[in-house]
Amino acid sequence: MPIIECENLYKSYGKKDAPFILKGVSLSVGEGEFLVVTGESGAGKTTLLHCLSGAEMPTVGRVLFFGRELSALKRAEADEFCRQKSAFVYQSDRLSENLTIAENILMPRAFRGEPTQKADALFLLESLGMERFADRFPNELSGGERRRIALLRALSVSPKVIFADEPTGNLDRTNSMRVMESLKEYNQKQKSAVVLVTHSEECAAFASRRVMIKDGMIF
Amino acid sequence: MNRFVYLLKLSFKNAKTTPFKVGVVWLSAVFAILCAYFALSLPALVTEYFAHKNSAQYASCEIVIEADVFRDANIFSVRTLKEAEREGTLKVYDFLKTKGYADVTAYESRAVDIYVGDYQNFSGLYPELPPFFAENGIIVSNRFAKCFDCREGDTVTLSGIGVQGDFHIEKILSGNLFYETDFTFNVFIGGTPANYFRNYALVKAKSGDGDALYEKLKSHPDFANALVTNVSGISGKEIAVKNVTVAFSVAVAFTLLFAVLFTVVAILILLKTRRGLISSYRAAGALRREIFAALAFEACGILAAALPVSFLSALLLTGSVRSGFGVTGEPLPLLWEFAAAFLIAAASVIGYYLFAAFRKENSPRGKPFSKRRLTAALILSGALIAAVCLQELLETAPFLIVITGILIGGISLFTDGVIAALSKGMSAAARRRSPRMHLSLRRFSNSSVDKKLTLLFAFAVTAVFLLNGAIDGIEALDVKNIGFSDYGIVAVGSSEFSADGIEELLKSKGIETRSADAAFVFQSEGGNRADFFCAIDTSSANTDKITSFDVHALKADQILVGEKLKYVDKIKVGDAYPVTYNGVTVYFEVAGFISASDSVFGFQLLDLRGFLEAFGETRDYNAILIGADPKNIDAVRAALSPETDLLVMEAERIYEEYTGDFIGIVGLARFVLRLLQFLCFAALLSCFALYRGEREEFLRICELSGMCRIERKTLVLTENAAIAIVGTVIGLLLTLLLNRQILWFSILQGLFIKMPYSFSSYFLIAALFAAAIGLNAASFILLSVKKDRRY
Repeated sequence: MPIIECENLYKSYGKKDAPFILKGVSLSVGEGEFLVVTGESGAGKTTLLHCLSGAEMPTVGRVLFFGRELSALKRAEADEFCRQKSAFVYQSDRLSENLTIAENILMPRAFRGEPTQKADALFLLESLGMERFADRFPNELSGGERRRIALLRALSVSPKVIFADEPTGNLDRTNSMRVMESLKEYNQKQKSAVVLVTHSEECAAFASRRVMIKDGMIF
Repeated sequence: MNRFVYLLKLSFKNAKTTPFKVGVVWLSAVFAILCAYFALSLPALVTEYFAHKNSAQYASCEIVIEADVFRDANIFSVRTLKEAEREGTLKVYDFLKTKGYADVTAYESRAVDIYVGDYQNFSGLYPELPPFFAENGIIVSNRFAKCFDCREGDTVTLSGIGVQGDFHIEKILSGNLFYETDFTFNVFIGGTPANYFRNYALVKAKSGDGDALYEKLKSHPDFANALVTNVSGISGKEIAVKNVTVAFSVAVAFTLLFAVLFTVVAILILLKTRRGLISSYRAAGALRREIFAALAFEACGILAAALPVSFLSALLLTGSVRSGFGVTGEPLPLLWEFAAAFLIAAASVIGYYLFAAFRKENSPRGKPFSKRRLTAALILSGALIAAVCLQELLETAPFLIVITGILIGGISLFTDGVIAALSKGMSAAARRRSPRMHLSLRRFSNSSVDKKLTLLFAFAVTAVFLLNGAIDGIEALDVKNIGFSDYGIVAVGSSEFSADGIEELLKSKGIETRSADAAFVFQSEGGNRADFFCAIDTSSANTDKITSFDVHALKADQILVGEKLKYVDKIKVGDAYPVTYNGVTVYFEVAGFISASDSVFGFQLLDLRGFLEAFGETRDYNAILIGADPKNIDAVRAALSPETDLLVMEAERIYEEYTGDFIGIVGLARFVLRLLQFLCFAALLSCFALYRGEREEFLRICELSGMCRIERKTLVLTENAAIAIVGTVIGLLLTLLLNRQILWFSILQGLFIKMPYSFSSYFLIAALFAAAIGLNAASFILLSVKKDRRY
């Protein structure tokens, strides 16, 4: 049973006659699936991820997100719906430097209007053995630690699907593997779907299914 | 937790942990609020100032008859305050002469004034006044009432010469006579020896009653002719006041425009530093409206913090301004003024936060130099030229506002294009010579922040120079309109004299006099003589006519002549100088010279005694030297007879200490404009500070790219220099353009047409700019060599 389906997606930016970045992409993501999208830089991976997650609307085509067509919803309604179901992990950690690690982790909960107990953050941190960082600020952590905190932040709301955009970019192999293992573990335990874009073969090895995108088309 | 409470908490945390960023925006907000406040309130303040200081005394008083009944020497003064009424005023003089006051001596101190006085024996010369007062009663000031312990309805006995008898007090007016605003007709009588010109018993002053009295007096057979001179219009002084006010308002209005632009650019730059924050919000799943809310909360927090600071600043400033310049009335800014100022600042801050929050994250960035922008700039420039031409034809003030709007918009776009073109050219030129410089200039070319900062720098240059021009202009306005700049001063000491004789003589020679700029009279010791200063135009138009300069005076003991005449007439101290009066020529010895160019004061000294008292001088003098060059003082003193009681009042001292109307307004205007200049610098530095924050990311990239410290230092210095150079060039161009615009506006308003510049003050400004640039460069160098893992 697919939780996300897209049909014949086209996407361009700017003027009407601007070239399409996605060209007729059709794809589905099943429940609990670990889908990895690979491709070269500029192939359209991130754009596809944004369209699938509802962060952006396709120029042509439709996206069914947990059975609802996003373009048929009002923008605010679609944003809220997607937020309740999904979470994002970006290439950069995007941690707020003004908040502690615990506060950063709890930020998505706060945005959803859920309780933000520090104990919840500690529980999550313990799962990665990083509870000692709870009261520190992001600039006191290494790059790999920050990336794992960013992953914890996404997991803190137990999303049904995680969208990850090069989550191991700029990380060494050891740290990359740690991040990927954490993601895989969550995928298997929670039966949540993961849609990950990467150009790393090592990361792609964690996938239950792989697709490749080239020049805006799926192969 | 409620998500909006959480957003509030987030905003608070950001504010708490990023005090530097908040601080600079705070400063910008305060700056905008203060500028807006001044722009809104100061024209009103000026109006209020003159409503109290000028209008009551001059604008509505169409004819003033004064009689000092407590001194042996009485002066009867008839003044009309309209330039156009000069002829009519002379009729008053003629009328009084025909009434048998053959002994009176009249002289003209300004074109609009005639003083008539008999210094020998005044008694009984005005028999019509006592019956008139007896019939109508008198209105006295409360100072008079306190002095003589009388109340309304009481009968007082005035035993002064000329006006004698018992009169009932019809009304006691509160406050200083000069600050009453609703006079339409005044007859002053009274005074005390101690406060010669200030304490008047007001015979009739109040508006409604004044009208009735006016009619009565008009119907009086003896005063019928006198009152015919009453006309509507404004005095020369009021015109000058209006000029100052308009020039001041224009300068402040331009500054306000720049203040808004400053704030906008500062916030745009700040938003760059907020990118990381926004992206973290997005990564945490925040929706657009929540991001907007968070930023809006932050903006409101900044403004809320800025409000009390700006309020206190405004309170402090307005309080000092009002007390310093003697403005009465409401000590605080009006609520709506402050609300409007706050709303302007709030709208600009929140508006741009809104803009940032709703901006598409992945929208493609604009090209640094697009044809569309250039086309728009050219169209706007064309529209500007057309509008300026139309303005010359239409000459309407509202139109000017539209023009100014177009001007600012056009300049902004055009400048953007110019910056891009210049930097692109420089970048290309640098490519061959220095890769580092090329990199720096490429960034300068492509970075929107750099361009905004350059624009900001240009605005700062423009604002500071414009303000300086306005200050110089106002100073020049002061001298030009009411000073002695082109006039020689003739001083006749210890003598009875006739100014009208002087004028008649000069007229007969075709010499133009500017008696509006002349002079004042005061009672010398003994009260039966008067000393006289008269300004005579010695500009080039008159130079050749003054070669046979003559002076009418009756019993001139000594004479001081303007320094220019020394060269024109080849007069030397000790020369016999012919003075003719009523056909009798008296030769007297030239006692010395006065440097006319040093006379910087220009107010009309109607109240000489008050003027002297302002300097703590309570004595009478039979000679006063004002505005003399210090080097001349000794010479003049030596030239006078030893018994002459000479008061030397240096021009600078008068200028700074005497709170006359013009001195007050000029001082006020300069104070505010200097303050705005300071704020321009503050805003500039705050934007540099913001920019520094934005540059951390770039320097981190440079470091990651393998640049060593010295290379990074060179990089930022090159870029910094590019911003300063391009910004200064554009700023100077803008200054020239806007100065021209101000001049047009000034000409439309009938103001002077020359915008003078003080080289020394501009040198100071240039030095300050250099210091600002240096400070910024130093900060960048520190940043570029900083060993910090965060960048």
